[in-house]
Amino acid sequence: MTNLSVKHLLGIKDLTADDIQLIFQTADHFKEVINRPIKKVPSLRDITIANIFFENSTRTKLSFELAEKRLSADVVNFSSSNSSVKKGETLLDTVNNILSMKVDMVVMRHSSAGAAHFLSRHIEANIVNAGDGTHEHPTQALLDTYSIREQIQDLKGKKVAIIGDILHSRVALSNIYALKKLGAEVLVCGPATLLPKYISELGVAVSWDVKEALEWCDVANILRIQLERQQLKYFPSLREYSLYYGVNKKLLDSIGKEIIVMHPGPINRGVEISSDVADSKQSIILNQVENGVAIRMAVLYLLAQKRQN
Amino acid sequence: MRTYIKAVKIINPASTWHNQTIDMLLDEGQIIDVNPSGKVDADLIIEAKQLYASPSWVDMRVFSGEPGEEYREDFESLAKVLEAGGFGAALLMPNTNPTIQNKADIKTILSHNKSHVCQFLPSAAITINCDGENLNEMLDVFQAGAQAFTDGAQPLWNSDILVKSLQYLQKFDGLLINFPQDHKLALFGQMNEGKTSTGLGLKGIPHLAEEIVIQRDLELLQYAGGKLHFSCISSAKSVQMIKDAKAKGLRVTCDVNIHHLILDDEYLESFDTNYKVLPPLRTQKDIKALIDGVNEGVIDAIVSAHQPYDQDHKKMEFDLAEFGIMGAQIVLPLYHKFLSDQIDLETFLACIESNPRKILKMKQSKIEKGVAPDFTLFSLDEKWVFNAENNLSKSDNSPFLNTDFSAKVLAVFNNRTQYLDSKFTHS
Repeated sequence: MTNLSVKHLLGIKDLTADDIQLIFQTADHFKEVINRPIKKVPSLRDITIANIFFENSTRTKLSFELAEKRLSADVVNFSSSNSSVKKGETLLDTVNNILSMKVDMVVMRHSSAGAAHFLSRHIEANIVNAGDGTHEHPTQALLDTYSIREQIQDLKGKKVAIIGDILHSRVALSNIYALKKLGAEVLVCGPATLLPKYISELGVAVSWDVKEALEWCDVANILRIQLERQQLKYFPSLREYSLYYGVNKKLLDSIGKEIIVMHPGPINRGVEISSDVADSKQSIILNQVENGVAIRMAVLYLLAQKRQN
Repeated sequence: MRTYIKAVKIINPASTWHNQTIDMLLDEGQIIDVNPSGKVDADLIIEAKQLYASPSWVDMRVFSGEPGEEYREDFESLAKVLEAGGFGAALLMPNTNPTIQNKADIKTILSHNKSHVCQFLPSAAITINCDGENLNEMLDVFQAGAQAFTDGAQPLWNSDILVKSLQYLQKFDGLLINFPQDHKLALFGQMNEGKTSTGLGLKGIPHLAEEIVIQRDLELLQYAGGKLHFSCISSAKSVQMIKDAKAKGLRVTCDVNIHHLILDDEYLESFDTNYKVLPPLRTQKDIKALIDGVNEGVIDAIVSAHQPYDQDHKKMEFDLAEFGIMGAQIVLPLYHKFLSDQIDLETFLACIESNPRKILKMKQSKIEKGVAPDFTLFSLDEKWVFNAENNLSKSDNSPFLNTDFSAKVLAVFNNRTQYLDSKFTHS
């Protein structure tokens, strides 16, 4: 297989396992490229990409921009932390204005679930979802699973625990879809109020006990507490959360085996993960960041290829 | 105008012609003859395959844009939608800007009725501006002609206000309509809570948000007395609770939005805002229970819950789009295409005709010789496509645009006037 089955990357849910493997294989190649002295290839030199971020982002935006520049694409950036609607312009108007400047691909982050799907129905460009509300963050899940694959080769039958605020996490949902497609077993863990009531219907196990989750898994993906996305009160205090759901060295040592620790960032040190875990040799947090560029290069390259076909 | 309707099957249990296929001659505001013999002279002859007539229909839940948001739907366009949908009357919800809540508002709406086939029945707010806290002058608006009392799209969340309203309305046996939804449990919710909402990352509205209010309201009804109607129930458990309450003798009735008998929450997989509605589309299990509820007579009425929104309120991010589906024009076609194998025609018609009339204390109409015509004429074998050209609403928020149907309303006779399908007006 040399082509993706999709025209846009809206979510992992739409991808096949073959699509994911193709992205991984392409990323392997680009990872080698970005470690060369000359880190750039001319693959997308006739492509213009707009990075449209309606929500704050540091690493995802930087990672996409680097990926685009390494592929020699022309890049324009638009950021607005305020909702465009509040300014009186609709999302569609904003994007159409940008597209009328002849843009081929749009990388968009938005606070509304489904925003990328909505755009894909109404505009011509290829869309890459860089996070839509509490729905999906497909490139994050791809780089997460790619990073696990680097450590343990085949994910089939491996056990991955996703720990933290599952309810507000697009990373969790995309990871669940990706891990299941790759044959891994998934468990989600957090306070019951931060776990969607029907999450087990997606084929994942559920635990309210961090130690139990850590003892069960081969890999623990620890998520950030999304205080900015919580419209209501879900737990009493950060202090209590870190005491009962935070992962620290003492807890990790107590489970009697060495597991891989991941975090999509940015880290709330001392809340969901302690510094001595984040900075330990078990942690692959910085590998995730490095792999992010290769994965995004692969996604953009494959979508551009699909476009040309 | 002398109108001759040929080979029409009458569905009207109160009529001597019920279940019979007859010819009818109308003239000068009367059904002047049934099965006339000899040659009949007429200005208009109505003939169609599988032609039926039943007393004109009543839609118990309709939202107008007028006053305030006429660009969505004004009285003229709403009347056209309802007439083409077969309705001779419709209960208008008070959620306009300003809210329908005083004598002048009621009179304005009623004044529209003089020249129209479809009669607008105004409902008035129970609480001022539907704020849920301050009682409106219900006796005064009743005197002006308010047909029922409801905060419409707003649930009555305050138990004390509900009790007092139920008590207060008993002076004239007034009907209280509540839209059952717990505000806090539904807060920020976008769709039904379940597997689909979880997979889409959208905040769900649990079944519980409806059921807990129905349970509470039934207790309050038992305590206060009066008459209570639940609008747009959507959950299997709600059907059971209302069934039990009816068996206990409580004066409770309810309706269901026709879309909730057809669509489940999986239609939201593509984030299509045309499926975004309150209460949210539920599950296949709920659909089955709701259909059983209609067949068993637990659910009294089927409504369109016509809630028109233009593209500026729907063509946007899912969480920013308004809730609501328009649909008064296609209630019969929807029934025929999706439900006719599960609900028989007579039961369906009772839910849009005799039952709403009973609940709203309207006169029951009869199709008989010598009476003024008040009936809807429809064919169950008339192919057409509901599309942008024949959509009569000012809005277009329907998931069924560009759907082909094979049932259609062909005429409505009421109020000494008539609506005729374009195939009769163009010939």
